Amino acid sequence: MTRIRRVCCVAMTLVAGLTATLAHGGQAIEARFFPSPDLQLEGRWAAPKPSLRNDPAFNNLVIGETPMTELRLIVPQAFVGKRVRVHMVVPSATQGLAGNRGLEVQWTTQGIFRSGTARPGERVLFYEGTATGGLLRDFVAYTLRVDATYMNGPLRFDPVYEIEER
Amino acid sequence: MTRESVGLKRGEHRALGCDAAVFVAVCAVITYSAGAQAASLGLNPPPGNLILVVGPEATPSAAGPVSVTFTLTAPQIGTGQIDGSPVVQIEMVGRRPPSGPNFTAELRANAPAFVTSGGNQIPISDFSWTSVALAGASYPQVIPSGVFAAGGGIQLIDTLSVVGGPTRTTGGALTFHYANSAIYPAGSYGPTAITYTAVWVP
Repeated sequence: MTRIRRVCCVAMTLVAGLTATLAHGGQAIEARFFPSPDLQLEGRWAAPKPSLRNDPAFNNLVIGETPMTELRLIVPQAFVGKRVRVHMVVPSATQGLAGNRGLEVQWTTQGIFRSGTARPGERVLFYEGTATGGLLRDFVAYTLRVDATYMNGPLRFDPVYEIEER
Repeated sequence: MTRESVGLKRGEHRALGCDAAVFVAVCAVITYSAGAQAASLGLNPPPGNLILVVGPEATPSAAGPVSVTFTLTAPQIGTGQIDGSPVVQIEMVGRRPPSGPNFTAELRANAPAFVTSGGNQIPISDFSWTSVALAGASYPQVIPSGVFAAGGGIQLIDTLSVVGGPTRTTGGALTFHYANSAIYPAGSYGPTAITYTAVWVP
């Protein structure tokens, strides 16, 4: 009997924990680049001519940059007409990266979304305002900075966008 | 004993029921997350490369060859080593592509057999260099000091193993010397080209 209670308590705790996580994280929403849903970048070395006198981290730095690209965030019906916040969540694990170090993403926008930077495991405010329709969109240019020391293959940056009522 | 066994079985059954509930909850979360498509960015690693910089220490990236000059006045002739000017900075950088194979790089010099002035010749082996670490260098490997091989030709100056980390570098500030241990006919010798090459050895 005691065992039953213990197992049930653990189960309830887990469910409660998951619910709490969802409540804190907001609701994940669909995001798409337009017109192409995926962007594939060719990395380049930040220091074309590395030098002994450079910081080794600079000599190892790989950069990937996108042009200004339209990003569309799909607003669920429940949030339309409401003041909302959208956060960009960068997963702790990134494909092509050993561990969660060595990656920084910087982006600039045309003013509807917020410009900023983020590293793996971070959650950054990306948009704040009224969702007047089912679509939020802006043009975004991303710069990926990767320390090649931690890069173990082609990298895939898959942020999650989460919406919540303000 | 029997009751305990029965009770235990019932407990296990309920426990399984709870596990199943948790499993369903987790599935719901996974489905929920997977349902939201994310805009995805892919980044291909850059290819590896091998870079060689040779230039005056003050401005190592200056375009064109660097010219080292040795000037002897009459009283100095045959009295021992003369330093050339300027000091030359040489850097060889090997960059392994992320997830790519290790490799070795060789720094080679190709020199003629003699430095000439009309029909007069000074053997290239009368010239040597002393190499020291570059000021402010953050890498430990320094090009070794040496002397040009008699007869000239291609000579291995340094070897760099590009293993482990993506970037490995060797380099140094090289002061060239003329031995000045023999007496040659007066004249203006040279110029003589010595070509340094960085070679990727798989």
